[in-house]
Amino acid sequence: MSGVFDFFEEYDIIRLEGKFVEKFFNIATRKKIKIWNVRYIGKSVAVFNCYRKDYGKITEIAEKISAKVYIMDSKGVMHEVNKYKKRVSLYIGAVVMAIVLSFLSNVLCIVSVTGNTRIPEEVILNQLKNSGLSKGRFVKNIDIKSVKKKILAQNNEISWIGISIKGAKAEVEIVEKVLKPYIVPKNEPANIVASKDGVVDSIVLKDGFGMVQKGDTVKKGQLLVSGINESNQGDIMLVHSQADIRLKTWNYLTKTYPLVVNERLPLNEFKSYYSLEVFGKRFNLFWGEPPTEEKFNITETKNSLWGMNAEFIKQNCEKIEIKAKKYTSDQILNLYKKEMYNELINTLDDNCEIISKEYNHKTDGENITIELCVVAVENGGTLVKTQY
Amino acid sequence: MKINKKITNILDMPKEVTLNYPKITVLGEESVCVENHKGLIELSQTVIRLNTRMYLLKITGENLDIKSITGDDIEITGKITGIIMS
Repeated sequence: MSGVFDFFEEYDIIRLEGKFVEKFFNIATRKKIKIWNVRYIGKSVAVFNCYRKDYGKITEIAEKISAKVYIMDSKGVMHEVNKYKKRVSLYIGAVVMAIVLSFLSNVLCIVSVTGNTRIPEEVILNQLKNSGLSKGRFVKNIDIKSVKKKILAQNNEISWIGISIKGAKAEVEIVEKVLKPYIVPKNEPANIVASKDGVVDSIVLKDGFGMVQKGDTVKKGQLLVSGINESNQGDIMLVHSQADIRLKTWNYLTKTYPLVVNERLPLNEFKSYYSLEVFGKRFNLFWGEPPTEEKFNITETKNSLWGMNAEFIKQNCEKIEIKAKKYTSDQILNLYKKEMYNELINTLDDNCEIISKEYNHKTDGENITIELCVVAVENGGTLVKTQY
Repeated sequence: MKINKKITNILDMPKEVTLNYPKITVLGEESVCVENHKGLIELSQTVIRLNTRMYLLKITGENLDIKSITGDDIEITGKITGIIMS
């Protein structure tokens, strides 16, 4: 017996009383009896640990040196097992529990749908149910391939579906089709209207009848190129307008930020919290209050437990101190300038040309309001069907 | 014996193995490990006396315990304050 198996062996904590305790230990070690945690209590009394199997030899040595030995306590895994040997109902309960757990692990308990923005979750769940995937079904009986096929056949708005079953939880991921914008067919008459407010920077007319000129100010929805022309004789001509129209636009973004920011300063003190999540419910494996974002920087790792619907969660927490820091308006401006610019640029046309940008800000003591103005030249015409 | 010592020196072999010299390892002030001891002579909470092949070893300290003891090795824990060879 050595190493990790020592832990399983049953051992006793023994009290030794006698005049020659040193002699006792010398004889015991010579006889290769493993002894550890020897504590001298005083008045020729020592306490030590030894394996149960060696107890016979221990008593023999004690007799030899006219000492007395008593077992104070017994410990070890095997000791605990022996203690509960007669408790049959406990073992039956454990076996029943294991059977119930394994049964529940094979029944689908949770179906989660992600990735849907237009299609309501209830509709997808209903379709999944009709296709053979719903709560209460045996996991082994679910044919994922056939469910996927049926869902794609039933729903035209879904372009891809992924189903993964982890334990008793089914995760359904959906990618919806990107709807095509309505394009007016070339053989149908169409107008071009302004897609934004702005000033006409350039207009190259290919077909249709121009209603504005370079330098004109236009409003969103204003007719720029008409597809209808009425001649002096009263004849009406319908055409599919085509033109490259570039508008100079003024785009604004206004945001307010506080001047006092709570900063999270790490204190370099780490702590780990463990918990168990079963069927969506979390059970803490520690005493006291759970860690909060106000006191810790928390990173969480989840490990599923042998395919069951349970997860072992480890929270690595670094203690923090929240300190309020006051920034100047220029510091805040420098901090958020780029973020605001990128946010505004994302709303503009890909082929736009940036002419200028300007930041204005005002403070009221507690907050700063930043206004960004970006002047750009971009495509400004949208084709709409002629209503005639 | 002298020949043994000479051979050990020439071959640069560990003396605690070939000559059974006691080897004492001190870890901070909380643990002392003695290899090749020849038996326990005195045991108390403040003094543990050991016999070795070369000398008597007296280990003094506070709350001294023997963490493990075998025929060759002994590990003593507690607050070690002194190790005297006599």
